[in-house]
Amino acid sequence: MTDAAQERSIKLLSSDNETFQVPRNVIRLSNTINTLLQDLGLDDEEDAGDAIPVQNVTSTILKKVIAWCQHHHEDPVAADDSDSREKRTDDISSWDVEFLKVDQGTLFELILAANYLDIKGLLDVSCKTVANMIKGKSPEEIRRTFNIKNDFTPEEEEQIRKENAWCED
Amino acid sequence: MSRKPRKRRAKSKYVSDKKQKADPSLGFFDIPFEMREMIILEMDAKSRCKLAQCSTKCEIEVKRSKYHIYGLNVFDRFDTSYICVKVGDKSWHHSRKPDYAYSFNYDYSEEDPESRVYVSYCELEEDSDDLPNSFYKDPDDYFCENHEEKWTKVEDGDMKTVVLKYLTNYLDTYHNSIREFEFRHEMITVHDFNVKHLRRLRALEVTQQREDLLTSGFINFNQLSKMIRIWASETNLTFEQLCEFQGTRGCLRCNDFDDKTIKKYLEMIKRGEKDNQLLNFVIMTPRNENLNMDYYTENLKSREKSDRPGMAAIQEICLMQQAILGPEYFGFTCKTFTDYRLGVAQFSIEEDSITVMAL
Repeated sequence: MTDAAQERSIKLLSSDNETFQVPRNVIRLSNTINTLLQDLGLDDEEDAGDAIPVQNVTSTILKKVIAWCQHHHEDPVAADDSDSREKRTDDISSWDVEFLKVDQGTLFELILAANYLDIKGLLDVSCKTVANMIKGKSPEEIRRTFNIKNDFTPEEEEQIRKENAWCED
Repeated sequence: MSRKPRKRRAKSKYVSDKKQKADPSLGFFDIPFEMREMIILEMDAKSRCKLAQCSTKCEIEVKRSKYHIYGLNVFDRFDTSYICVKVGDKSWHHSRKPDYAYSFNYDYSEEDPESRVYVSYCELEEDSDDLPNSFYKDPDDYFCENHEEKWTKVEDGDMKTVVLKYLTNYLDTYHNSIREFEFRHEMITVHDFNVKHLRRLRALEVTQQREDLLTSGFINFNQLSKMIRIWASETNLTFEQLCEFQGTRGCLRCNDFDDKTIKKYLEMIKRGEKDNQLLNFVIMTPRNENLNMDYYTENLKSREKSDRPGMAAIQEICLMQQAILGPEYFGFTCKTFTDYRLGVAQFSIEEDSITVMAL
């Protein structure tokens, strides 16, 4: 990507037809958009033309995604060590913690958007936030929080409770 | 050790119905599987156990994710290391040959498993991808002799902490069964296998035979997994058939029956440690068209007249089988031990297998 391309803006169109003007160097965090622009030969074009439809993301969520990218676009690129890295959920930056203090529906939609737009950092931090939401909850609380239907028979439930008795506080 | 990177994200099939606001009713199973898996992978062991208790689907996903958690994050760091794990008082030394890239000991105490875990490891010399020749000659002795001096208790910091964390997680999750821990630990070495392979292995772990084999010290699940792969590719068995076929049996490797091992085992039996048990080995005939059953059977029959101890005869059969099937792969199944006496071997030919009894 040339310097000129870095400086220009890209238009994104949300699923509810709202257009967002996003600096190219901000939206570079989205591999989906990067690939799209490259495949269409628009990466070095002065004018990328019409807004790029982001059909799976509403304006509310897209706005949040852009805000996240805006904050993180100058972050150093992390090595792709997702499989070998040590798993931690306590390494979320304070900015991200505040950013992700949203209702559960928004959080899940952010995960979906981060996945669709292939924004690794946002996806990671969103998933960690959900993992943290589960921490310390009882099975019943987890069910309630995440709309999970208990389909165990009483016998099965007792059995699995016994199997996991070690994790009881 | 190379591995195929796990694909973490697939393009979402999720299609929004153009909501202006986030749907507050979105639940855990409204997000795609790969993201659920990512979330599970981010959880600590206790959270995963809690989640597993929520529903059948949760339980399955948590169990499946364990294979990723423990299958990907440890042993890539140990290509040139040997690991020792100890928990509590019980001691179980287990050595592996270098191609398994590790060995470990562990003790276990149910009272306080986590605090008693420690991991020690022995790194090979820089630029070395192998152990000294003394290890090859006698792995058990090598570890026994070198463990105390060369292996280090895990301290905080860098790789050791990571090792401790993951192995502690192991024990957290599987502390109900030491053997299961051992078995799953083995599974780490087969991280290049896909989930189906792991499921096949999973089908084995419930069998008493497997436990018998584990305690006998002869089992080699790395080899077993290889064999399963080969059987899967060389036969027309379905997954279910393969599980059934394998589920009641375990597999052993010829190299595990070297003279010293057999001698040691026989000595153990003589000391009464395997009293009232019959070693009953069934040599599996991998359903391979190239197998010359006539040759096989004739040689086995001639072995009936041998006055060699049964285990030595089995070793001979191992070598013969190796000669027939190729230098690397062949297998045994082992029935539950019921009785044992030293003596000559007795064979019986069954439809698709040959039973060798050490009498």
